[in-house]
Amino acid sequence: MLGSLLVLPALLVIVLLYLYPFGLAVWISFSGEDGFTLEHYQRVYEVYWEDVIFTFWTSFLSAVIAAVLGILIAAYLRLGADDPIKSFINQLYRIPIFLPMVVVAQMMRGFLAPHGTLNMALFNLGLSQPIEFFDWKGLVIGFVWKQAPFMALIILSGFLMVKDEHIEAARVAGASDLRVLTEILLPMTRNTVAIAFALAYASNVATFTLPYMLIGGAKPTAITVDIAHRVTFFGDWATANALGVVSFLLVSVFAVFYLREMVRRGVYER
Amino acid sequence: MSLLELRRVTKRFGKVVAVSEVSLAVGKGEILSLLGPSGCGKSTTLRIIAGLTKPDSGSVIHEGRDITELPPEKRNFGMVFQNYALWPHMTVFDNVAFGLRMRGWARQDIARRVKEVLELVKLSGMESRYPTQLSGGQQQRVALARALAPSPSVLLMDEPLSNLDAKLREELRHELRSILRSLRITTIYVTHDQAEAMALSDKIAVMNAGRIVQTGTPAEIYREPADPFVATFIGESIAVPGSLLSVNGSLGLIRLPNGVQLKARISKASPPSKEALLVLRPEAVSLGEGENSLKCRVSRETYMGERVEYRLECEGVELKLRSLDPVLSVGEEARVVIDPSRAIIVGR
Ligand SMILES: Nc1ncnc2c1ncn2[C@@H]1O[C@H](COP(=O)(O)OP(=O)(O)O)[C@@H](O)[C@H]1O
Ligand SMILES: [Mg+2]
Repeated sequence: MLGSLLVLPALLVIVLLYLYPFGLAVWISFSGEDGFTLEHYQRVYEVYWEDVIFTFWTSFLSAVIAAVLGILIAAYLRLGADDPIKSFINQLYRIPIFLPMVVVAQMMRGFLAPHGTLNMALFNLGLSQPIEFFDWKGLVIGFVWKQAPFMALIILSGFLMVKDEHIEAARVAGASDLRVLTEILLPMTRNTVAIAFALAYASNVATFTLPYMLIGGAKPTAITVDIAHRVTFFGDWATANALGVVSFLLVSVFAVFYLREMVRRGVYER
Repeated sequence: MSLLELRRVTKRFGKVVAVSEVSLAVGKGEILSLLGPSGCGKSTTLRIIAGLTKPDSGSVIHEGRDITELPPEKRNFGMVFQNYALWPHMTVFDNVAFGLRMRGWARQDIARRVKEVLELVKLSGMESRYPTQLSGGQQQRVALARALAPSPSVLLMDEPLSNLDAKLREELRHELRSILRSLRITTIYVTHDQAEAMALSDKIAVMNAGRIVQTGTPAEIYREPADPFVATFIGESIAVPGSLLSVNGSLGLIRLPNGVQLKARISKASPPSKEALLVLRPEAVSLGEGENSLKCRVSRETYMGERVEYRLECEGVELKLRSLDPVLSVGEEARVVIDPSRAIIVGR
């Protein structure tokens, strides 16, 4: 009884600061002139469905590529020989994690512009026409650039929980670095990798600055840009909230997994 | 020709010299123990052989080929770790099959071989268990099966029995011995337990502070210690410094600090020198009078079940005397004879 009284303030804060605004947003997305309506969702479907799909696959694809790169970086840092190159990379790879997305977006604009660094490099390699990067390509490159180091950090913390002996036993048994990665490290840290993936994916779905600065209102664009557009130009909170609920659903598939694992065994395995 | 050789191998960790100028040779089918106290460099030596640690200098030779730079996965050695190091996400079957899969064996061949090796270590029927569902002894058997499955050229074992209780340890020791003998597999066995080394090995290399101080058969190591370290580390030895007065064949006459003169055998592995050490193990001491005897007083009596052990104060020297039955009591005076063929003199 006293126990439940003690958690009451915390519970109240959660309800007031999190659940209430969230519930309100959901409520508004279903409210029309005469009470309950699906018209906002219908608008989402008619006007923005392409963007919903676009948001899903760019976020997912970026998270997959970032996961592969993150795993490779983490594997190198866990299995590579201790030398100056490794300690240099060990410092370097974390920098993008601490850069705000708006800075990343600004960098990407310069890097990916029609006469930006990347296109000039491609031009020098013999490409005649500059590639248009201010669409899904730029978005994916920006997301990967930002998320791969973050995933490397989390996955490496998982890899470091695997005992040296387990790795050495595999080596003596005939496993190359790649087999150690696929047979020992990844299976033993499955959940850490899945959680890193879910976090990166969710953060991609929720990012506004990068799609806004790279793609803006051009079609297709990210849901977050549509939400801002809906609010700024139409003052249409109802449709904006409906879009918000849809993006929440896009994320929640993985969020459910994340929460379940958190509860089940803490963030790290044995 | 030896199958595996270490040539002047040295490894430092910062200022600590873990392994210093170690050379050794193991013949095909031979079981060699690296025996020494904790921290003397046994594991580091074994890891250098496995390829898990790179030596600072020296070389590892396998079948006449220098493999010092060869990564562990290309050496075709098997290793049993002190804490088993079984992979927790794999069943017993998958643990044992791992090395075979890495070598690209076909599925049916893997199944057949895993079955065979599990039979050898008496774990048939446990294939689908996970390591956490096994006892310590069973885990150790899986670790052995895993190391043996690919028929490695050399089997490396690092204190494999040290985490087991005494009774199980002894049982497994005998079983291990018969398995290794029946397979005729070349084995390097690391242990700090002399009884284990004696029971298992063809040859023992005694290590101290990063160096190999003596290599020989268990009998040679026990009976002909090369120096004071080996003499005192092996057996329940009591060592008394003295000076060697004369040598007569294999026997020497040593004078102890209290002026007493005793005859004892000179170790063949230790050239006689004036500065000497008299090594007295319990089997060299018995109740009796006459030549080569000392006057003693019983200072402690310990009942050990199958025997009684007495601590004796003998003219300034502490000795241990064993007896099957209680024959003395604390405070009593008695004379003991030192058997000159069992007391050993080594140079210091
Ligand atoms: N990875 C390491 N880093 C630093 N010192 C080490 C390392 N491995 C072993 N040592 C040191 O080297 C010496 C020998 O260690 P080890 O070979 O493990 O001895 P043993 O197996 O005989 O107990 C010890 O002093 C130990 O502290
Ligand atoms: Mg050790």
